[in-house]
Amino acid sequence: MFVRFLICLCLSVGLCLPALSFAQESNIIVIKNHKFSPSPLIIPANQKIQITVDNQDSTPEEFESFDLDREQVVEGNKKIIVFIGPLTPGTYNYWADYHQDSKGVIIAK
Amino acid sequence: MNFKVFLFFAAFLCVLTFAKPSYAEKQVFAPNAEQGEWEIENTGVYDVDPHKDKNAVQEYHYSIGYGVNSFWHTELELEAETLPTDDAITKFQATHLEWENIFQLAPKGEYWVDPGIYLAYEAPLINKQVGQFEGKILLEKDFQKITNILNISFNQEVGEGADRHTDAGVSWSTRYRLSRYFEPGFEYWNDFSAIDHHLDYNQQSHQVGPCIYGHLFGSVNYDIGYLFGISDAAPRREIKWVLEYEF
Repeated sequence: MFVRFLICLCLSVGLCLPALSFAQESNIIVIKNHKFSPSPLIIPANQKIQITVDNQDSTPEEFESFDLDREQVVEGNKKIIVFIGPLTPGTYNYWADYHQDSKGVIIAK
Repeated sequence: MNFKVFLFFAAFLCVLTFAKPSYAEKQVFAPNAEQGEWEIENTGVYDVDPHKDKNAVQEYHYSIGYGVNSFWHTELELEAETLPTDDAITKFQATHLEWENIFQLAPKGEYWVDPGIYLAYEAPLINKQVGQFEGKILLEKDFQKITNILNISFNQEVGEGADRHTDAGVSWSTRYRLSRYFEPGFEYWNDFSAIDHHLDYNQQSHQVGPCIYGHLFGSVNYDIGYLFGISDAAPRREIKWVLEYEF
């Protein structure tokens, strides 16, 4: 009985996952010469946001942010999607983990 | 994504099919894989209890792990523990070699809850020990600065002399992301024992207690907890820790 319950729970979660995905719009952060632009990136507060991180360098980089609780590698000349929010209004810092002097800011308004 | 959903169900069914305590190690796993990242890790527990058979029980794990890609982290681990002997003197020795894998099933934040799967096999290194498969469903949910992680675990011993019952357990971690260096929180650990043989609350192991998490010196992550046994089967007190060096 317990196993059946778990299978049903699992199937239910799996089937509902696509419906629970509610990212709204795409914003772009470009990495070039190990620098982020634009910075700051202004995004709406209290909404789920999809950010495309476009690494135009030939070397990999890691988009890392304690404020946003994100840590994702983007390979050279590749793009990744970072899902964030909903965020309360405020300033959120991030940095390039492989070049830690390179920093950026996201402002939620 | 379809492949990952398939993997989720396939892994879950494998866990149920294959699927003692329910945890190979005392760590609540987040459903995350970091591509290209190596890590060296030490995990341990030390129990304190008035009963001799539950006192000074120790278990240590030494592992090396690698993020193969953005959705698969794999780790090779050596487990050492104190083992009871006939003359009631505990003996400390390496007992298992474990291969563990974490599959991140969706980018963090894409869904309302972040899902993942943990699959591991423990091979025995000494006689009279059995191997075991371990599977976990990993779920994580952030609410602003509060991170909650739930692991639902299943274990099945294999080999000669193995217990044929599948064990299950639940572990929960909540932490407040105060700063990168210090995140206070708490953990709850439960071991239901066999899922087809219901035990009373006091025969199950239940533990809860404060934990702290964070980063040290840039590349070292720590996770230290002090758990209180809240059922008879659990040790009265337990110190648990995870130290991890990333590079």
